[in-house]
Amino acid sequence: MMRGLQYGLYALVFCSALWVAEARHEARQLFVDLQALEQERDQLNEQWVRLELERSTWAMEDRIEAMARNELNMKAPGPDSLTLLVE
Amino acid sequence: MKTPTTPAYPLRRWLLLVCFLSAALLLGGRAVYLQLLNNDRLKAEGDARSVRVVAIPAHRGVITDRNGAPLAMSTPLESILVSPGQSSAEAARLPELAAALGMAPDALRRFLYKHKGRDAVYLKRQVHPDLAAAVKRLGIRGVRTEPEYKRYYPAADISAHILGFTGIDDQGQEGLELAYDRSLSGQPGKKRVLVDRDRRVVRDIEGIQPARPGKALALSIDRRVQYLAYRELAAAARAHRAKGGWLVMLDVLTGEVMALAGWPAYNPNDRASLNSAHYRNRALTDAFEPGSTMKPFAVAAALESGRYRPETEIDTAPGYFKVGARTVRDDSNFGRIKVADVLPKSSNVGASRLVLSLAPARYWDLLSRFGFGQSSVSGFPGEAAGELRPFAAWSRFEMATMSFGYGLLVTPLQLARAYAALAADGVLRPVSFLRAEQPVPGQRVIAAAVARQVRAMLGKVVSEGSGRRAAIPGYRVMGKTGTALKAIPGGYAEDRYLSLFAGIAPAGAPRFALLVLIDEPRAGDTAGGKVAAPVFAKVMAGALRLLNIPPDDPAALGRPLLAPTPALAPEGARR
Repeated sequence: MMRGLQYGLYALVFCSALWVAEARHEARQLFVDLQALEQERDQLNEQWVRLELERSTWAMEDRIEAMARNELNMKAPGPDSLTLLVE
Repeated sequence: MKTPTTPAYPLRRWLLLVCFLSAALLLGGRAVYLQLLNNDRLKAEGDARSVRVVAIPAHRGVITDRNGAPLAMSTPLESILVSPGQSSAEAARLPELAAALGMAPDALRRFLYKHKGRDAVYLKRQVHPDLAAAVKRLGIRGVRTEPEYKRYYPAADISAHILGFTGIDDQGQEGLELAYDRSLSGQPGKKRVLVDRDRRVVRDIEGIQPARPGKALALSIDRRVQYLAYRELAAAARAHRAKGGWLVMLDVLTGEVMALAGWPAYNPNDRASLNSAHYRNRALTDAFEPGSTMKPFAVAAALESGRYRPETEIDTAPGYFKVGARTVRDDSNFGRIKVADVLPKSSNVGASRLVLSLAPARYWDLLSRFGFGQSSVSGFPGEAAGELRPFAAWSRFEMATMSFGYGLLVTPLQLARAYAALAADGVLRPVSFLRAEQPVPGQRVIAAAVARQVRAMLGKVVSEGSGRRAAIPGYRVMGKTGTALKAIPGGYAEDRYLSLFAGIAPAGAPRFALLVLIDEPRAGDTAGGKVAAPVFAKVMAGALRLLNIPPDDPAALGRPLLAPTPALAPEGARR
């Protein structure tokens, strides 16, 4: 009886060892996938940052002002050309 | 058929069997020894050749203005590393590498020779990813790339003094980059990877610690207002050939810093041009004697005592008076004036007389309640507390001079904050460089009635006093001019001034307190009302318009308001 239990436990230990190996393998596989996805995410993030910086540089107030004043001949309206609308 | 008898060699057979068996045992034993008994060392040796722990880079958090416009972003670049020992072997290909990097081949050779003992050295840091890819394509042994981040500041010099900058390793070195370095900087993770003999990553094995990217930081600054403030400040400082200029704009209701500009500034993107003399955010780190911009607090102390009312008369004749052996002077003899006229006329004698009639402890208490002599706890690195000496050490003359802003030291931020407290009906709020997500509680430092009375007097400074150039059409503005002599060792310089204007707008429902300081204007005009007040008017007018704050004095525009009535709108008109 005791002996049967012992063999049963041996078998269980063996199975769990296999299962650990399997799980570890799977974890590594998933980690590799995760890394690939994270790399893709990082690349997209990097691209986003670059585009955001580009947009922000194009939209810098001094550049907009210089273009508005010099190229488009715009000017800020004085107080006498303003009309106030009251809601 | 006779079977040929094969001679039986039993001995030989046994011998052979024993040989094979012992060989098998030997191999088996060795295998057991290597695999089971002594495997740690071998595993370690194997791992040492192929397994590496590498960092997973974490990027630094973005800093944005209050509306989400980026002010500082980390953009990924690559660094090129070289293992001198391996690369030197490919001597023939070094000129290619040198050409790709824009180096002289000899310089590269010398560089490799100099570091020949090292495992890997940076050949070039922070290069564009395209260049890194080109170098990688050369496929020279021992050359690899590593991702790195560079901080980029789209607003460059405009926001330089607030943000500060980071070092080459992406750590905050100045300003808010330093103050919030902990939460901004990401924490790089670690992972185990398999590498080939050139230490290129072949595959990822497992993660040890995930990377934690830095947190984003939303500032209280409005980039549009900041730009306007910097532009106007720089223009005025140049026009007056000043040594420098500072501007602080606070939101009265929350204590948030809307804009903080300094001139001369520096471009944080261009590390080579960094001049340490320009780093300091002097609006917070340097204290100075503020001159007449302190008078409102002398008047507030007098009103608070209950012994004066705005219409109480005081005698300032004959335009000077003696305190001990020293003399306090006015620009001219104003005669008998009301307390309410002390500020519009900017009478030193009047302010001195008011303060000298009070107990020193009371006056000291009021000044310290307004935050003078204390840090504003904005969290900015190196913020100065200014200086407010204990009243027990005051002489009567010192007490008199403090009423018009000498004998105590304040930072521009402290002064702006104290004006914001006047604007907020006497509630002093902590200064914040971060966007406030909810209403900020303050501390009542003076009765609302007193704050309103002082504000009314500040309104007269702009409508009929020395601050006329701070007026903004359509809005009612309050403020005080100041022209302070600069202290030099042994006294005061006769020809070096600080020109100041501290003001509040709109008067009806105050929203912003703005301080403008021009340091040593040298183009003739030195008066705060002529040098600093126009900057106030331009910046404040622009800010009020940008932030959609309606005029509180539209009648001054000399035209009726147009109220749209639905009946007048043409049918089908788009809203």
